[in-house]
Amino acid sequence: MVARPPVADPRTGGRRAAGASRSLMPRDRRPAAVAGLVVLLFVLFGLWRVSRPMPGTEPAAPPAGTPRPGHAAVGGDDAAAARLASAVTPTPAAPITPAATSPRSGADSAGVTGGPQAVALGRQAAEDYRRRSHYPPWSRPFNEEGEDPILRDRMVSPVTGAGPDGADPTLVVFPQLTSFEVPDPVLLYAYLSVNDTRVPAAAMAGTLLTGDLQPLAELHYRDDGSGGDQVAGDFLYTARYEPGPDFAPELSESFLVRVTAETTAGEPRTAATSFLYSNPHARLTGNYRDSIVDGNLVVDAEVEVFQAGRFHLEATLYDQAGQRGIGEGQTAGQLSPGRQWMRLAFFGRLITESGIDGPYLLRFVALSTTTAMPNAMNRLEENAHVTGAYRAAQFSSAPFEDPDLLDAADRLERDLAGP
Amino acid sequence: MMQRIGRRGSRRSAIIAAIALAALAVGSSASAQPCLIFVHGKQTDTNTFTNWTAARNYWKNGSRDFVQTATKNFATSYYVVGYNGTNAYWDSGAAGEVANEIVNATNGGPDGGGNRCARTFAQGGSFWVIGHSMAGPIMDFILGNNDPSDPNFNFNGPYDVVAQRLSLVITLGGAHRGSQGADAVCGNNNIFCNFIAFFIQSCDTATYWLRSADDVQVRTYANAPARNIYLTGGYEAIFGASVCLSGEDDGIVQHASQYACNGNATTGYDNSNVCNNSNKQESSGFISLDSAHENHSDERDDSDRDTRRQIPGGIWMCGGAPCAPNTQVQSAMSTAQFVAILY
Repeated sequence: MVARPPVADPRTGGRRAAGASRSLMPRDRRPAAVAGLVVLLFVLFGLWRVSRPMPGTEPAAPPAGTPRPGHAAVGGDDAAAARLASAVTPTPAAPITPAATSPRSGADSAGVTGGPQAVALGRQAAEDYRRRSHYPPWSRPFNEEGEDPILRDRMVSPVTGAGPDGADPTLVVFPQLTSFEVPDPVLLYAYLSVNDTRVPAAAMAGTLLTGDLQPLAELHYRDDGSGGDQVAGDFLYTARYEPGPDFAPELSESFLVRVTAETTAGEPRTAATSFLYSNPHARLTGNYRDSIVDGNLVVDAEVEVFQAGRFHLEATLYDQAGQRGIGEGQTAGQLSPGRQWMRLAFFGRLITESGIDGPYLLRFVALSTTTAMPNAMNRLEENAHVTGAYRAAQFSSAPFEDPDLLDAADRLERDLAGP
Repeated sequence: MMQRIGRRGSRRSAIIAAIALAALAVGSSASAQPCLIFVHGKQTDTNTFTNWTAARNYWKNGSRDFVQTATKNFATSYYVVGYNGTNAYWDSGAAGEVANEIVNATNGGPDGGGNRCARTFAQGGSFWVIGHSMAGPIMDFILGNNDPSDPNFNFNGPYDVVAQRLSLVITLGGAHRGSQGADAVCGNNNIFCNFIAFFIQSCDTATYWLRSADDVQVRTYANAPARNIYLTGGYEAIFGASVCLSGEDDGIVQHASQYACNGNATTGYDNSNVCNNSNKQESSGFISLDSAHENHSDERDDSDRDTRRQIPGGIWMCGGAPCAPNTQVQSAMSTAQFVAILY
């Protein structure tokens, strides 16, 4: 026998037993009443079921956020933890609101009426996907800062090594490039720094190691204006490594450079950087041709393939002066040995939105062999090609309408709408 | 008699209809939530790959459990991935395994503990990945190589299917631009740093590929992610370790990496000036959430319910406008609790 829960009396605002109203009910409405009760029972059962772990999952524990006896929340007082606990305790049947409500923050927080709230992630993502769906994955605009994505990916990050407790001087080490191409020499730099100013070192030396940490060679860093060092006495130390003909990897390999410096006070500093040494299986011949196909600007680049494999080509498109970026294009595929064309396409809408008439400049072109990891990167080609004098209006302004992004947006929005 | 049968029949129909309606109501209220797929971080052994319980325990600390809290006490369906955390992020045991497990989750398959997503992709389900630490570059690699025009398309798994089926990713202390902790370990500079051995013990393959040098960075081998990767991280320093990291950090990963900043991977940032959403490692797809006073370990086990602060481009709104960077927006909220309020 299941006890019926009390029900609210809308006329009085009070409660009374469900059974109390039974005798007042006309006999011919009993099936509906039974159905109503069944609905109520199933809803209650459903809520109970949803609040339990799923089959195969773990037993329920105290609600999230509930402070445990003798365990104060780190960095916050218990009262705040308790307020939070009540706010984040799950309410599974509650509809998802457009903005996920968050508990009020502490007295030293934003100080804004209502307290800070977290934006609903699903809504934000759905809006972003709809915006991004205008462009295909093979041709996209630059970021809002107009940063060239090819240059960004080839930027070098110095690695630092400070003394005990972060003491200066700090050793800074980095290669000239992210990737060197066979048979180029490798240039490596190192310096000691105090407050971002280079200071002299008593000694600077390095060891070149393979990716599995086997020593290959000792490196001599110098600051005398020779052996690859450009300026004598500027406290920027340079090591030049000539790999030799036997050094070429099958495709590409990462090499570690461990550098040890001695400060003028006789203290040691160590840091490590690395670089890629690439032996690409294809090269750009320097031949290009361009046309308009399906409302997009198409640029074919000729490549000479030495060994069959997978190749990736990307390029950035600018105005003729190379000052205003328009967008990037990329393509990839399996190629056999010999000369052949790889087709880059720049999505028409990128050009119409820019309002820039041609000729257009292929500012940076990057070819890679991506048959295996790590990929082999060719030297960057700069100002590789100037297109015909097309007008922006000749290109299509139609959006791409990426179906996968639109589907992802639909699903997120359905979640937000709730049941 | 006929009248009684008729009445009983209509009553039975009403009951059946009521049951169907009630079941539908309950079912849809539960299914309007995403399935959460958890991807752990770097490991010093292969335990999480060979033993699912180890992968599950990655998210626990005593009675605290990130998965339990983020799923609102298991009310939301979930799936826990275990992969080889000693491999490079792009290896088949890492990115390949993660991609295959995500597809399994979206097909309704069970994880090693029998947990399944409530709805499959074909049934209209949606899926969020919650990833810690090395899961950052793993997801960057998968989602940045999902299209045939990408450099490493489907390199060792069904990246295209993963990208099609995921709604979004949230990373916790993600090593998107590597870790200066890994730099120190591989540079023999860790004698000054005292890193948490649980995460980085030696310059093994995974650590080598988690350094901040650019030739090992995921951005060198992937494009912008096909689905948004939302970024939250920690700023609670670890004594000894944090002196080896630039700016704010969680004791293992510096802010420049947790927030996938462009430029130098070792730039020192704090909660006021860390890169906004226009200055990420790719042109699109990386979006900042906030920063928690948690260290790298706290981020993944719900053990530290502490202050949270807004960062540039972050998710918190104050009076209808984005809160100013470094504003304290919560006084006692763990990252697990934070994830739970995002859906």
